[in-house]
Amino acid sequence: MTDRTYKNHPTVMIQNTILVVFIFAMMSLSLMKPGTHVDMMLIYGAIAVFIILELFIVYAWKKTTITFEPDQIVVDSNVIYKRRKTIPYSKIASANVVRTVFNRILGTTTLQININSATNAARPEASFVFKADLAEKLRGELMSRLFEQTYDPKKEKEYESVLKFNGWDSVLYGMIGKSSFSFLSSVFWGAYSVISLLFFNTGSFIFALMMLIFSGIMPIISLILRYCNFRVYRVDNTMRIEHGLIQTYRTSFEITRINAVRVRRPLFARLMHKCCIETEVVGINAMGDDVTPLISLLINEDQLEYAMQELLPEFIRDIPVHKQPAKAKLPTYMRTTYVAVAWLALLGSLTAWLFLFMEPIEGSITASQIEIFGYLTAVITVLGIVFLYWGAFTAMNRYEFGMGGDMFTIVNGIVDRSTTTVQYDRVQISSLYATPMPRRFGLARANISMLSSAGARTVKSGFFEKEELEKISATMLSRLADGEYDYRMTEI
Amino acid sequence: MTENTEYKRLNPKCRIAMYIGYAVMLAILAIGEFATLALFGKDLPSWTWIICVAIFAACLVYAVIAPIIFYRRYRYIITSDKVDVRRGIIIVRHTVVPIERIHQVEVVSGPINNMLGLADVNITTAGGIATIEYLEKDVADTVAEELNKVVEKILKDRKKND
Repeated sequence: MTDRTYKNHPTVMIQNTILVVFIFAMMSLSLMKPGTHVDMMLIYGAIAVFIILELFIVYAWKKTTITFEPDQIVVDSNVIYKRRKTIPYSKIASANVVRTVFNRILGTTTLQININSATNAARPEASFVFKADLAEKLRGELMSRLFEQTYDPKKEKEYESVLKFNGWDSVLYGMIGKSSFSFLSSVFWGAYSVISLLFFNTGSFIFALMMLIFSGIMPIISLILRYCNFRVYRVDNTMRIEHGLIQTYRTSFEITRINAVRVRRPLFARLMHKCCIETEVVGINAMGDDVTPLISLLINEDQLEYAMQELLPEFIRDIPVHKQPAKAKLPTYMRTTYVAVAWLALLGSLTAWLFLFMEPIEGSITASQIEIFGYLTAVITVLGIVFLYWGAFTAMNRYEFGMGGDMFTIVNGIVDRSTTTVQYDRVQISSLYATPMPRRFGLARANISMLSSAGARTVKSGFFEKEELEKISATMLSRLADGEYDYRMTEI
Repeated sequence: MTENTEYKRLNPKCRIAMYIGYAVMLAILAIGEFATLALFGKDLPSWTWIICVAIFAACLVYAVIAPIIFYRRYRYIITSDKVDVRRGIIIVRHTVVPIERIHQVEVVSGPINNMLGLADVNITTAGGIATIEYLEKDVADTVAEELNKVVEKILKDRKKND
């Protein structure tokens, strides 16, 4: 690759101008009331600020460049501060392309370059907008260099996805693929908005509706749009993932970059005998938020073996796992009791206050509404305690742990279960912790810290013998001492 | 680095540093509670006073006992391959950081530690930070220097191998 310098595509200026106009419009709407006189000085001032911002946008476009040098990429930005960022090719983890709505309308593509670093993991090191074909060409050149493969964007479309997904699969994943609590909270706010509409005032209905929209419907729609048209396939030692309906996203990363593989089984998916596969890999998060790379949407349990064979055979291990020891029962129930007491104190006192002290407020809340609230909190208090003890009861069978030669497995989660297989060589910090009760029984929990697309992430185990969990760090160290650990595979 | 085989304990001054820190926090809590009760006390039921006093008393007991347990329990060891820290008051933690994973070592000293000639050593890995707390300043400097040397050596060896 010879030295070539590029600027952002000029449409970036249009994109930024639209953003400025939007901010101005929002400010105008919030400051000006209909029928009020607008001071001309204010309008002149706004025009002056707009012109300054426009000049700044043009200047920033002119002074921001990316240069592809033989050994590194150099990003120069000489706007307010003079900045030069050098990214050696050897440190690049992935080169991704994202097509936002703006990109699609203007015929451009955003090329994002990520490095293997926990710092700024959620943001790409370099993000430039190019004409669509130029972005593909540059990405192709980068990928050929990074993965030592010939990359042809046209040929990429010919690869068949290992797992086939349709629109319904992305809808299903959006609804039940993430946390079951968020799905249940949507159901709760939906039910509450109906109750509010029937029994309470308009204010509480609007509040419930807003909660339903912002905490339930919007995240679900966002997930559906994000994971629509999901494709995953493998070319030699690289994983290729594509998805997105309005904003499309394509990424590739080497299998050696994967630190851990997680099979997640959220409650409702489990009831349908479905699961999804995620990986912990640093340096690919081009979506700009905390998203663990998803290898598959929800698939049937009987497809899991095939998916692992085809996509992640390196992570197939026959690691024998075992449940928590019987003596973990008491610490588990003790911990549950602490939480239950706190729950009872909090919600029980709220219930008592509603029944004993709360007086009706004219025009705001009636005696019958207070009574409904009281019974509602009482029911939630009891259900919460039942749930906590059910959780403690089932925890004995839910938490599992097992150690293999080069990887270990932690199974956790009561409602949403996940099985995480971690490579010893990718563990950054191993920490065991225990409160007085488990200590009496020689038990502890492990907190394993490793790199992830969000920077760093920890995996927690259930209660297991302290000596057994200590073997994690002992194995890590012995692999280092024996030379089994190859830093080149994990260099960051 | 000379090979250590025994866990080291902290300087007893760490208890003073903790006591001062807790005293400051208790003072802030007392002021907060006092201000709340002075401003809204008349409108609040009498049991809120009892709760405020109970919270303060619980925090006071914790502040008196915690430094003693912390000091008695704290152990650390730095060997040629790992940094190992055992610490905790209610929750006891045993943290192991392979030296190979260390990216950066820094010595940090806040105003209280500074006053008592103590410092913390923050060990940064790609996956998080581990800390050896309340070391004497010269010990902290030596630990940081030795760890940096080991990290440098690892990097040099890698360059040679490459």
